[in-house]
Amino acid sequence: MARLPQWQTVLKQAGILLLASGLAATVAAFSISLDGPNVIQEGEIALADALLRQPPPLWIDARSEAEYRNEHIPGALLLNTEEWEALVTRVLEKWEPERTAVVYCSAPGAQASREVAARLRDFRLGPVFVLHGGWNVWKRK
Amino acid sequence: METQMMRWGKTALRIALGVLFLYAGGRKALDPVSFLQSIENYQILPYPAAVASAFFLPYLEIFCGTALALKRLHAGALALLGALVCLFIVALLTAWLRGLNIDCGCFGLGDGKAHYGAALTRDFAILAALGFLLWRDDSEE
Repeated sequence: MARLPQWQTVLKQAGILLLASGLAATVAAFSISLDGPNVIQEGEIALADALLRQPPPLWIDARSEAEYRNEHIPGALLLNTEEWEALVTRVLEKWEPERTAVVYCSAPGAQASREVAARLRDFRLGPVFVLHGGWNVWKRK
Repeated sequence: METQMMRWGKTALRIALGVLFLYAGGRKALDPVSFLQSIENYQILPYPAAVASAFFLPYLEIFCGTALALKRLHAGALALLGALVCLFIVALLTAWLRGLNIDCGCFGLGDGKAHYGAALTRDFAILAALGFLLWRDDSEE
C-alpha cells in the first residue's frame, strides 16, 4: 500500500530547503560582487553590477582574436585597437542606443579595454564601462 | 508488501537521483554566469529574475540532491525537485514551440544546440522517478 507523506511535513521540509538554498545563493552572489583586487575606479563597473544592468550589457572583448576565439563571455563581440576598422562596424550595428557597453581584456591595468572604451565613448551611443578585474574576474566567477 | 529487492531498488534510485541533481547543480553553481546565459536563451524571464534564478536554482538542486541522497528532508526535496523538473519541461516545450535553437542548459553550458527530444525524455523519466519515490515514501522522519 502506498504511503504518501503528510503535506505539512512536505511543506516544512521544502521550506527548510528553500531557505538554505536562498542563503547559499545570496552568499554566492555577494562573493561575485566582491571580485577584483582593488577599489573600482572611475569608468569601471563590477561584474555583479554589469550582470544586473537592464537591458543586459553589450559585452566587448578587447583581447586578441586568438584569445577571443579560444573563449569569451557568451554574446561578447570582438573589438580591439589592432583591427578597429574591420570590427567596429559590427559593434555599432549591435549597439542599441542607451544600452550599456562593458569592455574587458586580460591586459595588466586593463590598458586594452581602457583604450577601446575611450574610443567607444566618442560615439556617444550609451554608457561605456571597463569591467573591473577584466577577463580574470569572469574566469574566477 | 515490499520485498527486500524493491527496497534496495528504491534506495538505489533515490541515491542516483540525488547524485544527478547534485552534479547538475554543482556544475551550474561553479559557473553561474554561463547558467544565466542559458536562462536568457529561453527568453522567458525578465533579466533581474534570470540573474536571481541563475544563483538560486543551482543551490536548490544541490541542497535537494543532497537531501535526497542522504534521505534527510527528502519528502520536501522530492516535492521541490518535482516542481523544478515540471518548470524545466514547460520551459523546454515553450522553447521548442517557439522554434528556438538553444542548448537546454540542464547541466551548465552544453554544445549550444537544441536536443529537445532527448532533454524532454530525460526530464519526464526523472519526473516519473521522483513521483514514484514520493508515492512510495517510507520515511519515518
